[in-house]
Amino acid sequence: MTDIKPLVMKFGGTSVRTAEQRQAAVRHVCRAREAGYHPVVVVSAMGRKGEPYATDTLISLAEEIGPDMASREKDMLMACGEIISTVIMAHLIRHLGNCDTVALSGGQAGIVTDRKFGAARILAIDPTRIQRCFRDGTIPVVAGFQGVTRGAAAHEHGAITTLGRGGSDTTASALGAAVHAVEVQIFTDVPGIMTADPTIVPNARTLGTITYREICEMAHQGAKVLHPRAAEIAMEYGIPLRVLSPMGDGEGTLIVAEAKVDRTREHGVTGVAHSGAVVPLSMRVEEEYCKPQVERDTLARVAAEHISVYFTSDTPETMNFVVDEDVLPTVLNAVENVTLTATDRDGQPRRFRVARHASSAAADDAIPVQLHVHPDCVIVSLIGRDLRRVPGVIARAAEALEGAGIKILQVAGSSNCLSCLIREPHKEEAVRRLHEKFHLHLGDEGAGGERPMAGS
Amino acid sequence: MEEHSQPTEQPSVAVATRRLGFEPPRGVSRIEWRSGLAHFAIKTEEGGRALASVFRPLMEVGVSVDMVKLLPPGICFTLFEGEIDVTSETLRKLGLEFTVTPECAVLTVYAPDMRSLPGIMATVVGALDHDGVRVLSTDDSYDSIFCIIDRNDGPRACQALAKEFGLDLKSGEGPGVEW
Repeated sequence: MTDIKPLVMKFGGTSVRTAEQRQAAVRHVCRAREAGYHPVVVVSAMGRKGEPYATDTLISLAEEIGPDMASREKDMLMACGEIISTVIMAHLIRHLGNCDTVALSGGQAGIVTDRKFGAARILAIDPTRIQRCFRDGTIPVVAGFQGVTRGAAAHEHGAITTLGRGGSDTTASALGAAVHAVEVQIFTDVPGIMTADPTIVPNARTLGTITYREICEMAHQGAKVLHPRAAEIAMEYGIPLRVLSPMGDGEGTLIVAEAKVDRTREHGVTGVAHSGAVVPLSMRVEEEYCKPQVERDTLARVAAEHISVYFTSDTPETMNFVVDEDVLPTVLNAVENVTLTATDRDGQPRRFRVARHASSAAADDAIPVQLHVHPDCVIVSLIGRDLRRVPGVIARAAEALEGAGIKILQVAGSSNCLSCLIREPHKEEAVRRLHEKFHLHLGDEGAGGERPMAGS
Repeated sequence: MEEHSQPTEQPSVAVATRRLGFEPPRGVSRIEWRSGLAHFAIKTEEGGRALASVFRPLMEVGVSVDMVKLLPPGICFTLFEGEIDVTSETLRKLGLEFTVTPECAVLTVYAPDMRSLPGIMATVVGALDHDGVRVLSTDDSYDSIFCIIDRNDGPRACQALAKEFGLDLKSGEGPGVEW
């Protein structure tokens, strides 16, 4: 196997939607093969909702009958879009590339998952079938987004599962790890990872390199470029990822470990991301001893609705957190006008009532906990490396925003991110100001490294 | 199925010891605490104060602040204990009223995919309260929760959370990790 150079090439739904796009994808595959690589092609379903073979279109067929579809059967249906795409692409590569191909479902490619239908986790990958393709000179074309459970007995086949959001990226990354790929290439409808949303910042540019942690942070802060799960697998197994467009010969963005990124920028900031609409909530519990109990029970009630809170900022007397705007009614229903019981310092029970209005809080003689809700907010985030160790990132961000009359309502951060909560109407101006303040339109990071088969 | 220990060289660190699948584990997989921090709380006038007017002078004397929080009636942040004096002097020159809590530690609860697993924050808050650990401030990122606590509570906090999340405590009585 010493001469084998596996190269995983994943084509997203928008990259295989039209005949022209599919032919462009095939050209990339053929060039990789001619350059001595062993391509493993991973494909998503073709197109988006409303188009005949898109996953959403298939689901709507079943939903017309009724919403109570069994999760096992729903996964079987959802897996069909990728199967169709796989067969078409395998056929096209064989015709245009004059080479042998084999279309494989996720299960046939060796991807074994748990039984969590709709959001399955990969338990193991047996790459034997794909490795046989390397020896035979056949190009495997694998359906993304899916796997199979282990059969209950040796003679039984497992059930088809789907991997959840970003599933095809996850397939590509996982297969890359399993076959020790030289690189995993994610072809998508953007030229690479950009320093900001180009529809907001016209001079945003494509990054040459970015680290796994930065891309994970960027994805979690609202950038829709690569699912963080794919980056986490690649990071775990040390497989380089590259995000690029199939249309043209751009190098895209290489995603690697921190040690492989050489930057000279003093402030460590790489890009600016922004969230969708969020709502901060805050509560003040006057009885400090009881506050952690009230907080625990409040957050547990939110969690029971399968809702995550974030942007938390506690003090001994206050609790503050943010939720996505679309879940606010559910959150309020879970916590508002609810009476919680805590034990005070003397072991006596105390009753607390969470409410937005003091009159509601005092209704049953419970101690009022006033709930403040602040709608119409967003989070803008600086993404970078070692931000905690660089003096002045918060100072510069504050100068950029406050200088434009944008009030920072709250701050959160980690080594790879500094986030500011602001009012929604200021979102675009905030992104532009931060991008300008940190000179992100000027590139100074190290080159992305030679792309396999570039220029060949 | 593969099963192995994740290596750690740091004392007083709790880690998940079971690895059940190909993908990185979900849920809380590591807890650690690091001491050597101080917590500053600046009192500001009603309506707040421009952050730049506080943090620009600190930047100019080379101080790096972390876990900045805007909470009525002021601004809180942490920094390395070695920077207490220069920070205090800078804030005094600005005419700001502030308090300093030295000998703090940051407790980090690492949980990949945390946003799809609601309830981790509630569990952390409940477990620390149950064991009498007072939390001065919290923060979070997409895969971690951070709690500022008294450094003397570090081992106890780590033990409490290790027990709550079923992790293997490597050294419960260790001194923690100095920055």
